[in-house]
Amino acid sequence: MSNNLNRRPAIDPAVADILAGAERKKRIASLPKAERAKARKDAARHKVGLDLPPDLHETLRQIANKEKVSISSLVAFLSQHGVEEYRAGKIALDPHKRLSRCARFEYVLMLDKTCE
Amino acid sequence: MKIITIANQKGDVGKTTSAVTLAHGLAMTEHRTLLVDLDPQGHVAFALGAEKAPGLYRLIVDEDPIDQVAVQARENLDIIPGDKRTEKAKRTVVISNFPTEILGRILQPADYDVVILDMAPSLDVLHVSALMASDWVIIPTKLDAMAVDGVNEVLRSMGEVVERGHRLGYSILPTFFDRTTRETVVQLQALVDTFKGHVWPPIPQDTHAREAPAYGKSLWEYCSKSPAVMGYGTSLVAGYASTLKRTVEVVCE
Repeated sequence: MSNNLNRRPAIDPAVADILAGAERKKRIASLPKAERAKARKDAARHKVGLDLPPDLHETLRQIANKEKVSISSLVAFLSQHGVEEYRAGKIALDPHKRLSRCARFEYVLMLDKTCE
Repeated sequence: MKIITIANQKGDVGKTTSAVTLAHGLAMTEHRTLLVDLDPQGHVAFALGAEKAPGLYRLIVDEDPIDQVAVQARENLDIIPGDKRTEKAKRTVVISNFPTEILGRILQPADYDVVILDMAPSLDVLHVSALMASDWVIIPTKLDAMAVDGVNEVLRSMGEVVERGHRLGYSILPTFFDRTTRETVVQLQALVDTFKGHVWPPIPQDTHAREAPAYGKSLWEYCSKSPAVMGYGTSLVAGYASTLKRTVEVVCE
């Protein structure tokens, strides 16, 4: 007998997605009025969790405080510029690559020690 | 050749819109498709900008061959148009020797990849004959209690067909999905709880779907970016584009 059996999902994933969205909206609607706007805003946010070195995090926090912006918007802004420079060939990653000990990735990027 | 029936005994649930949209979608994806109108209202031809005609009557009563009756509506898409004489054809079916096998016998020599049968909102002998001829049934339903009851009625008829030894798959296609009303979501949840993986992603309520037939265009031609085709906003998980993907899977099974 083949071991390559794929169990068919009990519910179409797209339908499950729609129902999950409806459930979230229902939960938000049941909140007190004052909390609904914040809950909707949170639900609309695209949140990601990334690993940052503590000293880089601290530097970003200081710049964000100085410029009176959130750390999220500062990171988004700087990342966007970094991506543009990478695409334009102004940033090369190869000199910073070291072999990774993690099986999932071939390399790890070494950060410069001086963040400021 | 796969035969797919679009059926629900409840009217105004989106049967013809679904039949026309999926048939044209299959034709656009290089499947030679025949769309048969079994409804005396003859709206398949109307929706594609063609003339109503007694196509089914000629097939059943005059016993004309399919290639003489079929009308080319689009590239890869032929239709058997219907009109009020379809009702007379039904009477012929009733008094024929093997009424439940008549459509299967007529469609067997058809040279197509897919045949789609657009049923009338009723449960008559033509309905049973269509189920007997089919490989798959798509049951469009509005998300209200009465339309969902119509789904149960179709499934009962399918049960009778399956008891006669015919193998038949089915999917339920929620239509007129209005994400702003609680009843819609409650009914969708109830459908999923009962029929689980048989429920396909819903088709959003969309005025484009009502406008397209007025111009004799399918939704792919009239507004291919509309919610009815592409789903809501950024989620893009519903709409006829996703229904078409699942229908192609059925056809290629």
